[in-house]
Amino acid sequence: MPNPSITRRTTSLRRVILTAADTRDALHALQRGRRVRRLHDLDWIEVAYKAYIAAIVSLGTLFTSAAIVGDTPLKPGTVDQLRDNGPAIVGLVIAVAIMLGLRSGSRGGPLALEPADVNHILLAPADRAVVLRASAYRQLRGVAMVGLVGGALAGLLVAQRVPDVSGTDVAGWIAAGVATGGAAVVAVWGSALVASGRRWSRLLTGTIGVALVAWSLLDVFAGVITSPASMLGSLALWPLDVRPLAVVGVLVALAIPVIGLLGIGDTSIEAAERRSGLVGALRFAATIQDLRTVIVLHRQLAQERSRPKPWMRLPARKPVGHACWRRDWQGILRWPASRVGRVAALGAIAGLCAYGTWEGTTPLVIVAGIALFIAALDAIEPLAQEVDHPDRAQGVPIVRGELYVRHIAVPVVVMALAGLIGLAAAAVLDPEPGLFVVGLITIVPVAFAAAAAAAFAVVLGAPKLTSGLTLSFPEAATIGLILRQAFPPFLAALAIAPVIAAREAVHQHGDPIAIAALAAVPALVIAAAVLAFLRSRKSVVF
Amino acid sequence: MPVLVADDLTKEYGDVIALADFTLSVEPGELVALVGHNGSGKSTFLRLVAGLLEPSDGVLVVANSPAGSLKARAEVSFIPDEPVLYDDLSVNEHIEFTARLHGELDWPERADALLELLGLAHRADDLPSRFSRGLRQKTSLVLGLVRPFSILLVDEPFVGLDPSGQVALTELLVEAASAGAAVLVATHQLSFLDHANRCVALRDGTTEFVGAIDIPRIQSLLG
Repeated sequence: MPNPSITRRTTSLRRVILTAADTRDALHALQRGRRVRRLHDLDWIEVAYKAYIAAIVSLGTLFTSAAIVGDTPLKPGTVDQLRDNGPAIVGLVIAVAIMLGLRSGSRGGPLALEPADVNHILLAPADRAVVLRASAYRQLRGVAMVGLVGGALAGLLVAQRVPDVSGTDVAGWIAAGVATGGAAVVAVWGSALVASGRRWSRLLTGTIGVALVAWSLLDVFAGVITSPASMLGSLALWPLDVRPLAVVGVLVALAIPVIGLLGIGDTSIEAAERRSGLVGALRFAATIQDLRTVIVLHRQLAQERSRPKPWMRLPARKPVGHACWRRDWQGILRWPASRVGRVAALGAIAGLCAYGTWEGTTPLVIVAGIALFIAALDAIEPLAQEVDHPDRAQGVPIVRGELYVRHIAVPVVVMALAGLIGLAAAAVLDPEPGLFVVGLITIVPVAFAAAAAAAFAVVLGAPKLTSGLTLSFPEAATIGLILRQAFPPFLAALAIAPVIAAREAVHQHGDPIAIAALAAVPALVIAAAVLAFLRSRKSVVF
Repeated sequence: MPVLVADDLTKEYGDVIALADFTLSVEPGELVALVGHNGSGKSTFLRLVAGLLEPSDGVLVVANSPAGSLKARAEVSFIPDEPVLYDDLSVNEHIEFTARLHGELDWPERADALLELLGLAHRADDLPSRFSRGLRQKTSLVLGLVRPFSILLVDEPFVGLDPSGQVALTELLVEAASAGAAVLVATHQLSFLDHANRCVALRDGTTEFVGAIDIPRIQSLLG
């Protein structure tokens, strides 16, 4: 028998509810202890190597961004447009980010506690508001830093292009960028905190988010500054035009996290626990660049599940017909509304970016490519599930590579539909028939290249960390990894080449439609090469 | 006076009903075994009592307070089926932190006794993140038993434990109940029923049986 004093004394002990001060002391002691152990276990050579890689990547990003933006001064007319419309456009971007923040909050974000914190600290008789606030402050520091650095970078890039009209130097643009970036990021984070602390439903957060975006859109089209997001946006352009309204925007932005921190104690522990496990796994998957796992975990985090009933049932057929074609449509017809909406929205974004490219802003092809690639990662889901369950394919009398390629047909159709949505979005802005034909031509490489790019990324999976190259030449491996991650979005972006080619043909009085058709070939050839590569897979590729 | 009252308790996850109209009352000193197949609702009920889940419907009162409230959390000790521990704290540091979270100053002697009993004394300064499943489970048990409680919730505690650990744990659970705590144990191990005062059998979220231990009947109910 155990020593009777153990449990008998435990059950007879006085129950204590911790005061806020005791709770803070306990948390500080925990943090202190963990910090000491972390420092003790730290490999300083590894830290130095990480800093070295981070510096290379940061400088690379800075120089690449500077090269894309260029340093040709904007024309006076463009500067006037920037001064008049810039605040509302920056505000629109901030409003969209706040909408996403609210959405995250309705699912339990932004806090991502450790599972052990949930099980030990949140179940202890301690005020949850104190516990969660301590975690929130730590997260806020990191989030604010991202906003400040991002804002500084944006300010620096803008300063390259805007002539010094008001005696403001580069430092002024950087300061405006830092202030706007910091305030915007804090507002986005705070909106998620408000939504989770007040347990706002998805319907409510969606309604508020859409209302904010609609308000900012009205500002953009009316050329006015009425929404708080536009007011904050005007801060970014202070070096061009000092608008006192920006102060109101900053105050609103700073008030949001304060409201969130005040109501943090009511955050759902159920959502916190679900989130804690998934976020940990998500971070690990992102660390090892396992894109497929990141997508699957992100869907779980968003509680995105297939519909029990499909949007429509495929008619029964005898014989069954092409098994992969049928199975893939069955999967896609069970997509939740959120995924349908996401693919449609990404298609629209790609279309609008392609239109922006047509209008002369060539760097937008990068955004279009990324949007198409992300949409295609959804479209490629049936193939991805085949890759997730390699044992299943063992029982099928088809070479694995052949099976992969058979799963491409439906995603190509889905991406063509997304491309049509993009074309419709562009046609709203400019219904010119010639542009419409160029758009129709562009949809062909878009559908094939985006589907092939996503298939490539999913089938290749996470990079091998123990390959000879990684172990022998870490720098070369880093470049290899970047290329491996960059290739799929690059291929998707290449599909927009017909738009650029047609634009140049118009400038040089050529035939834009013939040139666009010709410019579609490289993306189609590379997509075909990718499919040939996938078809050559005989076993699982890791 | 029951220390735990569940009345028409329901937990839904979207279309899935994990627990439906569940009613139970537990007195201090009772040792209640929860049995049922995987997905029957045992863990869901324990997590509802612990405050990790929120009821979709019904009433759940713990020591005269709503489950999950500050006062209820002071009374309930929950030992989950999967040990949840910090990667960078040793066993002793875990114990110290847990005791501190419960305002406990007089913990070292009890902790030493528990560690000794469960065969962890020689590993007390090691990181549980480097332990086997069984040793992590033992660490989790120590943390659940070192703090004050009047309701002890234990989810599948025997999984991964060696025979001596299983014996020691059974004795600890019986001892906790005899000391006045309400002890609820979710288990697939029907031999444990010999030690329980009462049994609750669940199937697909609904109650199949509540009553005194009748192993043949419970076996037939569970198929």
